[in-house]
Amino acid sequence: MIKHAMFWRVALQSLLHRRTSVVLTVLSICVSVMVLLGVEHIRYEAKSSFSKTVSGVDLIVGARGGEVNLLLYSVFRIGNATNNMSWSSYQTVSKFKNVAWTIPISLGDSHQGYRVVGTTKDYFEYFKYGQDKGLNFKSGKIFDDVFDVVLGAEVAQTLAYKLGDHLVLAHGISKKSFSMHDDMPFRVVGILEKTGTPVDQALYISLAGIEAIHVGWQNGVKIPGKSVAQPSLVEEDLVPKSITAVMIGLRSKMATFQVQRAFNEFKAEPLTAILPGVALSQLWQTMGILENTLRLVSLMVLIAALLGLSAMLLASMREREKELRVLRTIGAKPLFIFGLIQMEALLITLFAIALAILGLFGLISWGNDLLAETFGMVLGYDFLTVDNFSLLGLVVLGALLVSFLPGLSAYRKSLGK
Amino acid sequence: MTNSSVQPALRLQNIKYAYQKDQTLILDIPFWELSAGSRIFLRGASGSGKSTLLNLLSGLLLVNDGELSIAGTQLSELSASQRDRFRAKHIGVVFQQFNLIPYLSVIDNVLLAAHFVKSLSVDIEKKAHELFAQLNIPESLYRQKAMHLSIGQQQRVAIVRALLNSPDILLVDEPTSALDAENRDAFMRLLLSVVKAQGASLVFVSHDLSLAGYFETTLELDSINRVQTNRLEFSTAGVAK
Repeated sequence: MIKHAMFWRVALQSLLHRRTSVVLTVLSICVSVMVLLGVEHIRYEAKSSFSKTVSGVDLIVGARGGEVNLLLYSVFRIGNATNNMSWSSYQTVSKFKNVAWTIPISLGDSHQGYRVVGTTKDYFEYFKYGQDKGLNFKSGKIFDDVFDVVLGAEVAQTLAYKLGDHLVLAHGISKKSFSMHDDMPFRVVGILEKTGTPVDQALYISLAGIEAIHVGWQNGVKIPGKSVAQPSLVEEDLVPKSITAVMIGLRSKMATFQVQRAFNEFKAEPLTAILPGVALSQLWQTMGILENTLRLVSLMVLIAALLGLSAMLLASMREREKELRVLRTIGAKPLFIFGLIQMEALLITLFAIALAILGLFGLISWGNDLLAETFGMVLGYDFLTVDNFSLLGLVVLGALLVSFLPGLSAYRKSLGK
Repeated sequence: MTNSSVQPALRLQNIKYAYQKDQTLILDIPFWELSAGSRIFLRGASGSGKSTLLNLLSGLLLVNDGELSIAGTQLSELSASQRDRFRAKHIGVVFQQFNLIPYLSVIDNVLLAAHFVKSLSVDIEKKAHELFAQLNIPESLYRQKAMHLSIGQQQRVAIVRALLNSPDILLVDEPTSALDAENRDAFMRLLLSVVKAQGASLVFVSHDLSLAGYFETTLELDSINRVQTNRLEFSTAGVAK
């Protein structure tokens, strides 16, 4: 016991003696480990948060176009549809054999940068996220009237809306849109509970509402004098002519591929049908390059920090020559000297790792507010996974490897060479 | 080591040493023997090879040729790690300066010597305390870091460490060169009395003949070394009293 205590004490006191350079080395390794763990964690969290976004939807159908693009605009509300699908196609699709339910969505308008989703009441019944979780109302109810709007949790929170408030939608999805549907204000009738998905960042109105605000518009431009007052809207004006996409639930999962093929070969209009899971993995493949670049950069940062450790230890050898001679004179084996240098590298690295883990905890708790505000995403604290631990093991191994050189230098010096 | 008292403290026969094989010899000693328990003053000018001789005697360097034994054990017959072990147990060394690990406490510096012969125990700590007392190291210094001690204190702690494992022989290399006259005298008295009390042999190496008065025997390195010292020695010989 005392024996080992002595070895540790020598290593520890030696580090404390050279604390300035040691602290700097610890910090540089700490930062690099934080980057490494952080990148891994964000990668993992983004993946799981993306895959939690939609659940229970078997197919998504839109106008012919890219599969990933269809997934992005229909589920993640990123980008735009190049084309709409006609209302009659939608009706055919929804009556298709094996189709249990459909959620039509109509996109293209916004409010303060948040996207407006025109849909039906089925959205609130059938849309699922995470592990088969449905949407719940925090307050209010589903839209009923043409000019009713339901808000996602984040929209309500950020813009401080409450039930009964009136708001005006903008044409287009830009935050700085100049064409406002200001002749037809909407009334807030419901606010959804937080889901941690893009659902929180949208406003939901009926398909009739979408049609109503575009009466008197042509090709995205308001025609002067053609505007219609709210009360004078007639029933036939409110039947949609087209929608952006439709989410579909099937009666039998077995039929998925068969139905998908049927939609892809739809006669009346060119359509694209995707399986959300498959499109998601395609999305990850595209992201793969970015991911690997990030990992490569964090690996490079780590290597630089470890080389710094080696350089620091090597530079200290000159001033420690006499110290090593003393140790040898009183009976230290050359292996003890070598072990001492390795132990110092190990202590520095372990300390840096511990600091990095604490730092990451701090960073997540500090950064989560900002993340939630800007991306509607929060990071969990569960970054200490088995994978990340084995990554940390590799860091320790790397540290021992790079300190082999200074260790060897000390070893050779202690042999009188 | 029961027979170490009857064996000579050290015995050198036909030893030759050069740092590199084909370089000129630094040491060429046909014969030198020191009986156990004797304390001698070995005088040599700087550059006369005394540091090299001390490194050979302590087994940090190995002779190219010849036999060198300490307390009856021939060092060249031991393996490297056996030699490290032997040095820790049987040979105490005190250098000119820088004898201690600066960042370790006084007590840790001393106990480290026991650590390397795996004899760390309560008894050895007691012995350290006794030696500290004999060498006027107050208890208040035990926990101080070695670098905060005066040079005189450091040299005395170095003696405590060198004697802790009850070595057969103590090798001391100009330990007083950094001390003033008053401290030097006190140091020499303490050193000799404690070595005498411990019953160890002592080889005290210095260029300073004024210290020879503390010893019964004085030996010129040149008188046993066939390699004669260089010209530099003659020019500095007059300076050293």
